[in-house]
Amino acid sequence: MEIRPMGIDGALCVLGSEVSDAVNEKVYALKDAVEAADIAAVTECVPGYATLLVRFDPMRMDYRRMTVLLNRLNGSAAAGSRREGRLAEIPVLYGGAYGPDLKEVAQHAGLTQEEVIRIHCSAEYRIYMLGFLPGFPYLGGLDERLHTPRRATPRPLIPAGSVGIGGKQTGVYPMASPGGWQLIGRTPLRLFTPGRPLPYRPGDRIRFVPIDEATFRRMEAEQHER
Amino acid sequence: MSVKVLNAGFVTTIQDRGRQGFAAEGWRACGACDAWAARTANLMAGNDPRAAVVETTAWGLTLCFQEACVTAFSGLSVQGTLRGQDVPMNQPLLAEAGDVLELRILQGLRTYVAVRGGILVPEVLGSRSTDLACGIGGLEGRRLKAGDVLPIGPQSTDDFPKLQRRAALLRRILKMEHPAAGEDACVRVLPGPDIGLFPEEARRAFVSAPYRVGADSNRMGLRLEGQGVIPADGKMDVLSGAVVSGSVQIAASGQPIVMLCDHQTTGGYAQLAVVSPLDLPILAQMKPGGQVRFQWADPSDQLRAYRKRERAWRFGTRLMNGKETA
Repeated sequence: MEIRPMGIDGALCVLGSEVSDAVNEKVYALKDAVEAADIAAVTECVPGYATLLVRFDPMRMDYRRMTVLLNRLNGSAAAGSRREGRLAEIPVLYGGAYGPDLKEVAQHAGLTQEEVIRIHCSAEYRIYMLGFLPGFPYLGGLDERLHTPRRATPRPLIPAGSVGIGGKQTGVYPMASPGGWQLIGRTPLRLFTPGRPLPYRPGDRIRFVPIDEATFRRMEAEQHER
Repeated sequence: MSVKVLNAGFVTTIQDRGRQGFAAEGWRACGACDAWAARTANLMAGNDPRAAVVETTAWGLTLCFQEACVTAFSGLSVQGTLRGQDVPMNQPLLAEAGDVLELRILQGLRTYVAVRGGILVPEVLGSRSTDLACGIGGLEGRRLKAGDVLPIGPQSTDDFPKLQRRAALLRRILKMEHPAAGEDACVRVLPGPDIGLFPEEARRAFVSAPYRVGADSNRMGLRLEGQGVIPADGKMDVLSGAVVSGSVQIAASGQPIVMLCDHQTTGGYAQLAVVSPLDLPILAQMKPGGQVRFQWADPSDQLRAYRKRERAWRFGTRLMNGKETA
């Protein structure tokens, strides 16, 4: 592991140089170890694909001492076992008004819309990290056949819950936002509520599950009741 | 108890020190863009540095105090009138019920108004800062507009003369000058985590000439125009990972982008440098078209300077609250 300074109050741990499950596992193993160690001066940990930023209070801690602690923790993290990532199922109503770009994605791939849906639902996508927006998952493992370039002109507003494809990435918009992804469906789950836990965490895997319109409406109504 | 907004000015929001501890879920910190000015306003109003303040951009605002209270404002250079009389920035002020405070920004980009006890909008995830992109925090997650009513706590102004005396004493002990107050806006930077990707010529190029602040600059960051910075093998993309306020990312064009308070939690560009926290307030006051120069600084020096400054701030807060004898 390499550690680099990030300002006067951060230590960036570099666990690898590629997008891979193995490297990403090390990121979360270290994050778990740092959090379990409950170091008073540590203020937060921010994971990336292959890195973990550990921020600290510069009044109580400095970079050099932090690196000593982190190297020690990484040693024990590598040896230990981490908590199992969970599988989160995200129900999706594909196509039609909720997935206006499904047709285009299918055309681009030379597949039928049904085949696109089947392929999209057949994988378990690892959540490498969250960023861009609260709860926005950076997923790995989108089938190459579904890789589709982002739209030339981004939409000014994508509805919350939209499931899309952007280049090699797939994911879901936890809240309404401008964006350039190809929208293939929508989930009735309300993913974004400050203070309420998300249905997934980094290190978990997401599986998309196709639902019909009646189920979508029922689930949407249930969400509003909460 | 409240303060009424008569004229909200431009991009005016409630901010405190920002939302800390939720970046791993994608929550941006937000908070006052100019931490020096926000803290000075709070200090002069007799507040804890965590109190929420009003941040306004570019030209100014007008507030009406519904009850008597202690207030203060700060920025780079701000003209204020209270009850029609000129009042200075960086000092405790006593407003009577019905008094109108009118501020005009003379230099710089942002000014801050603090009221004793802070602006008491509800906290979201432990902070009162407004996240405009997510529509949470502050007052209903949005910019202020005329007619808005800002909640404040019960006020007692009997100790105002004491506050004035303590503030005067503090000004004799501490130098209370905005970091941007000098002639030359020179911003100190530390090596960023991706500096290894950049050869010596690129690192020198970055500090060789001033950059112009581009029009597309805002609370998320400053887009700079000037000397291009190219990494060794032309490789611009790095794996997405955390960025911080002050991170200097080099975009595909070779032009630097500096992250400010509303930055997204992660980025995919190489981070050449990180601005020293002592100089972030300089950037917070830079208008599009402004010029900024960078200089490489030593991390140990900056840490020492930061700790010294922070101890001085804390001393100041204790003094203003009568918990310190000087």
